[in-house]
Amino acid sequence: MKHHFLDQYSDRASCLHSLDPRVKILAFLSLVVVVVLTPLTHPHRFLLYALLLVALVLLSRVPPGFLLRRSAVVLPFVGLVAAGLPFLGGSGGSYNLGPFHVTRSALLIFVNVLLKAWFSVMAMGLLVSTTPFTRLLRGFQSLGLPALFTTLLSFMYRYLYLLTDEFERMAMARDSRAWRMGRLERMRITGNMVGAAFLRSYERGERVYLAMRARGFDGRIRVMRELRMGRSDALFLSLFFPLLLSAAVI
Amino acid sequence: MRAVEIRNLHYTYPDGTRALRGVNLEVEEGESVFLMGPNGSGKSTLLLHLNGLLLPQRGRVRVFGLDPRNGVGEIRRRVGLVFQDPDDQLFMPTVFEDVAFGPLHLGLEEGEVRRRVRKALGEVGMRGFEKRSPQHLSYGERKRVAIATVLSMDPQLLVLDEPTLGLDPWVRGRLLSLLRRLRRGRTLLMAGHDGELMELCDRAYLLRRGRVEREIDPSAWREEIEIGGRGRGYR
Ligand SMILES: Nc1ncnc2c1ncn2[C@@H]1O[C@H](COP(=O)(O)OP(=O)(O)OP(=O)(O)O)[C@@H](O)[C@H]1O
Ligand SMILES: [Mg+2]
Repeated sequence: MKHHFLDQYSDRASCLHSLDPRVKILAFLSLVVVVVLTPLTHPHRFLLYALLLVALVLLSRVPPGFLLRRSAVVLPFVGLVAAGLPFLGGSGGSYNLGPFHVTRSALLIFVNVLLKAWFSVMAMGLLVSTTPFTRLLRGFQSLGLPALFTTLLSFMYRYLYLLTDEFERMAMARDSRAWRMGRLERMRITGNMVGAAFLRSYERGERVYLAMRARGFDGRIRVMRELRMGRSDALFLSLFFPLLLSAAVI
Repeated sequence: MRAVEIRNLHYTYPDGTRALRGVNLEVEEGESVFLMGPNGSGKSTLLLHLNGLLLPQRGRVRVFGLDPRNGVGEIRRRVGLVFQDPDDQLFMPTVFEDVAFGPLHLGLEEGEVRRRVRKALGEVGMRGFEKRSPQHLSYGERKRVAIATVLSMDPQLLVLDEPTLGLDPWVRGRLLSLLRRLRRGRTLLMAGHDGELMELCDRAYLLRRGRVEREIDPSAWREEIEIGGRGRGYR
């Protein structure tokens, strides 16, 4: 059974996919930092960032529609900000939106939040969509995140699959035996299944822990450092950072 | 030296199931031994004692002369255990990392780890799957990777719980010849119901209701099944 929670499209081939994860982490994080720190008094810079992002998306060959849909997670938060706007004061002119008055500075704040949140989420989405989760963790680790932390995350990732697999198997077993079921009955059974899935995953987790100990795990985590930077990484870095920096100062 | 010596071993699961009720058996170093027995007779439970995953509740267990109650580190270094269910065995996000897990935790250096992973995956015919995630493999493929995770540790005693279960006849054939090769210079203890697997062993035990009923002739598995089917009931 195949699921994708985080890194759909991350196993595709493109020049962005083949870069060293550390390079991508550094590049995309810097992009986010630069975007967030740019004051809205320089709107043309945001246009340049957008161009940079579009170029990256095209390079990655990840469907833009997918990234856009995923970046919609920012909408609720931005919506929350928008709901507060009419209550913000501030100088400059004001606009009438239906029954509300919104001042110009409040509107600027809104645009500011919207653009920055959206660009950041796009950048992170692109990072995750071009780097398999394990490589991403490996990258974070060799950038200094403790092995304990990355290993915990990698187990979490693994158990997420175990849990959903367990649930899916049971759902399949239910549907193949009970094809005619009332809605109430179905809900009751599904409730039982959720409980059983947790129990089964828990027991499975115990057995997996046994397997780890059987192979010499003593609580200390050992991992390999297998990342190597290549020519394409150097090329990417030497193009990306000058572009980003010039976009940030123009 | 004896590789394994088990005397009057008892084990009861927390829910009260008495899985082992006085097992006696021994395995000499360099020997291949098979454990046959009906479902639920306690084979898997017994094997879990061999590298200290379960500790004897009553009776004694010695592995290469070591008592698991005095520490299991050295025992685990020498004993490789392949679980019956590959999903219990595989826990890393990629096949490569899973097969490398054991050698890494033996403290080997990276070049050697890489070499061992290559060799082990080659032996089970899974080279080229290094980057795949174990949970997206077919059952038989997972089973083969599970075996590789232990082969890469190059254990002195190899313990396999139903290694051929669920394999297609081609892969099973290759596994049988791999095991025929591996048994040279190594001690092998396997459990299961596969007659041909039993035939490649030196000795075999018949386990029933948590006890070793008797030793049987490894080449006579057909007859054993005949007798077992008649009259004695399933367990
Ligand atoms: N975790 C557990 N909790 C409680 N009882 C268990 C547990 N695991 C196994 N048992 C019980 O212990 C007994 C022995 O089980 P075991 O798995 O060792 O049998 P087996 O010989 O390996 O069978 P099979 O051929 O089906 O693999 C069975 O009656 C089983 O129901
Ligand atoms: Mg078993």
